[in-house]
Amino acid sequence: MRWRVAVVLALAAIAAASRDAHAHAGLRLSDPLEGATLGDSPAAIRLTFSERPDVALSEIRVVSTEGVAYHLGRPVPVAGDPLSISIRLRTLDRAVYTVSWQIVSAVDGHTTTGAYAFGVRADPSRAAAAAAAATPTVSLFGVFTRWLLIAGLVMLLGAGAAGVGGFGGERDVMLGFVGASFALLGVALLLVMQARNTTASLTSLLNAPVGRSLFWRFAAIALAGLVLLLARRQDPQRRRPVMAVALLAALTATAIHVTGGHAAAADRWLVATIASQWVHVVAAGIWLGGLAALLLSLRGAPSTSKADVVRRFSLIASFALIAVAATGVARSAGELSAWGDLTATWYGQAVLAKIALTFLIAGFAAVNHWRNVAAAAADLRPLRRAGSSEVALAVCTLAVAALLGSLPPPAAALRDPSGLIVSGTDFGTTVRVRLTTPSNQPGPNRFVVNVSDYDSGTPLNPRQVSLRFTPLDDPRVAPTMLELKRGTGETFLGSGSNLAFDGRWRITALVEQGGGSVEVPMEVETRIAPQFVSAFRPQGEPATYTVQVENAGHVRFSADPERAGPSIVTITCYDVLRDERPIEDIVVTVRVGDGPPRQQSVTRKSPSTFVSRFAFEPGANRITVIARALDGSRLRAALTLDIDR
Amino acid sequence: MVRHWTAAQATARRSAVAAIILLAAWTPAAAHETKAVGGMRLTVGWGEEPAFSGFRNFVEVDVADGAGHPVVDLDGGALSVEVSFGDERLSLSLLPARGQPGKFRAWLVPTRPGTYSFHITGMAKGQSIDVTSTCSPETFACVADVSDIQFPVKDPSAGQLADRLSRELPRAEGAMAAASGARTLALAGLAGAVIALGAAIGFGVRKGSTGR
Repeated sequence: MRWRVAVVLALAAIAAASRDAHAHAGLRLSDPLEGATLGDSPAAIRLTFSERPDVALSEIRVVSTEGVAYHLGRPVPVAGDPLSISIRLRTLDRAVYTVSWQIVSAVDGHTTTGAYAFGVRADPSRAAAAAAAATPTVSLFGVFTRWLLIAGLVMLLGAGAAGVGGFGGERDVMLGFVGASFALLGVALLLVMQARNTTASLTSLLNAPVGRSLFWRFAAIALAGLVLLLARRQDPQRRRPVMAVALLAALTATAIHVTGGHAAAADRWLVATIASQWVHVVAAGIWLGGLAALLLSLRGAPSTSKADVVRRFSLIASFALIAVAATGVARSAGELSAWGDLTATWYGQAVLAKIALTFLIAGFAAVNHWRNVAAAAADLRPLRRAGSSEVALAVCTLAVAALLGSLPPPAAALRDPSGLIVSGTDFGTTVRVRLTTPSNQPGPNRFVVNVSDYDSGTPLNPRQVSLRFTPLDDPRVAPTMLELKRGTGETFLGSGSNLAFDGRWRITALVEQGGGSVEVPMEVETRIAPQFVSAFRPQGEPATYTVQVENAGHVRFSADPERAGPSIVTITCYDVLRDERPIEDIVVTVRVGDGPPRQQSVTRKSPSTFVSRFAFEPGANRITVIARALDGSRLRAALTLDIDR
Repeated sequence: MVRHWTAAQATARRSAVAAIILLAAWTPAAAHETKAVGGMRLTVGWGEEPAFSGFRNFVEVDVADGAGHPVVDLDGGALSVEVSFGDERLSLSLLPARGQPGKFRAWLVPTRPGTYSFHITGMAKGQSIDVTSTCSPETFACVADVSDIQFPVKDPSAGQLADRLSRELPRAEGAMAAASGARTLALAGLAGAVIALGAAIGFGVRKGSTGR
């Protein structure tokens, strides 16, 4: 018994030590950038996260070094970018400001907090260090509540499986009831923790996706508990159908639990990942919860009927163990980005601890399977001893599982961003360059470059990498440069506002290595926010489409004819009052389907009207206009015409 | 109401913009770095900026005294420049530019775009000179690839063609070796097939003759 206590204490120590582990590192990008020195006050703060934030439960605060708050109202979602939220600001004076944020993921409900500093005509480096030091930690209370929930579900599943599978006994209902109580307490405490973390009211919390998920978990577990109450009144011989209903409710609660966890944040094979996680928890419930139910039924003297039950459970537990191991490996592979994560990250170390504990449990299970089950008809004591050890270790394993649920998986940091991803090669076909950014919108961005050999694909470690940004639709705007710094491994990265406005950009990577250098041209198109389009279809005349450009005016399109083949497109630019707006330069592009944009030749008809000869193709033809008005303002409007065959 | 520009106003405006752009483009040696050495000032940069790879250019050093007057005579001294690009180094003598007092030049063709450094050493008016300057937005222009300003067709530079050639030749040799291996394998397969066919025919004939 002493060693079991020692194991529990050791794991409690691991959990306590992990208080310093960083929570979900969700912030991908900020505007203004971390550590930036701005020349003037920004109108708003915009933060982009790796998972969709729940706006209603999220907070952003902007305070000066004197502690004066500068944010206005509550955060709001950013149109066209579900991963971003923003908050308006009062005019910022010359000072250093700290942006602190607390975000609840709308995907898995995890709360993340953090802070960073920027300056307005002031150096923010000191405040940046202080803000970085304020990075949050994993809450032991959070781990405990998750453990209550998982342990409760495992007991509930085990009791249900034992009742249906016929390897339990009189005490199945009691075990299930204890499990339901644990799980309900866990859900209630999670709700309390969310409410405490977010400072949101209970009503707004329950209206948010996180709250709704907790509510439905609670409802399913409560239903299982009520059914168990009903089962208690039933004759033990007629309990099986009622226990099947309780098991069904427990399976449903597990499914809701899984869809509100890390598995739901997978960016690939989402359904398979969630299914794998569900099978993992259910199999663990049948194996370990079922074992607890079996041990409760094995009290008293040995008998042949007890030996039959033990044999039946042993077979079921063997399949469950295989399912737990297979899905556990699959889930770990999905959440870890490299072998090194197993030792280098808290998440990896927790996975190793869980694997070690599972091996220990499997060892006891093997002893039972090959030695004690055969002897069960004569002596149940060895089986009970080994089984109790399995259950004690299972309690610790579930604690590690709860810790895993609170830690950020390493792969989450490497998931493909929703931003720009572009690759290119140099003319000499010596290198391949892959450029990724977390944001696909204009403004501040982080540029990550990986260089590899063209033929072998081996990552290269060049001496220097820099990027040149040339706006393709605005020929009068001079290119800008960004020198990248060496990041981890063979990655080069840098941050800047080089993609200053929306449109097409050529990004040329200059890769210098040894005594040579190559240039790799790539082309990207920053995303445009959704624009309001009004259509007017007069009888016998071509339809006109007016696209509203926010704070800049309107652009009217008319295609004659609007069908596949040659067509003349007329474009007229207006100001916000719908008066014609004289245009200095205009660039018109067309993109068919997912093909590359092609620039069209344009003829001026008046200071504000232009015509262009198109050759429409069947399918979606996206026309984009970038116009520079005489007063220097810029209009970018996009219209998609669905052309029939 | 919209303010419409008259044709004359618009033409004048466009002309002014064009003149400004042309003026900016024609300003020679727009970005150089000036360093003080003893009582002298050395201004370092490319002779032609922006500098493009594959085009003849020169390292230009303006030597002036403390008052800004060009130093024509180095009093028996001489200057040289070591141009470096990554691991590569090239030493050149800086020679006085004809008809441009105080200017010293060393000609070269930068063949790759990127970051170049100039290390200028020597003696001038009894003063030891040891100055290093590296291209950057704050000093002088780094060498750019010419493709951005090529029109109407963007042709590869000699350096790009050399890179391509140095990559394609081993690939062609590899493809030839693979083809040769495949041919050998095909011949071996053919020979095996002939032997198998012969054996089958032989076995068939034997089976026919024994009547089984």
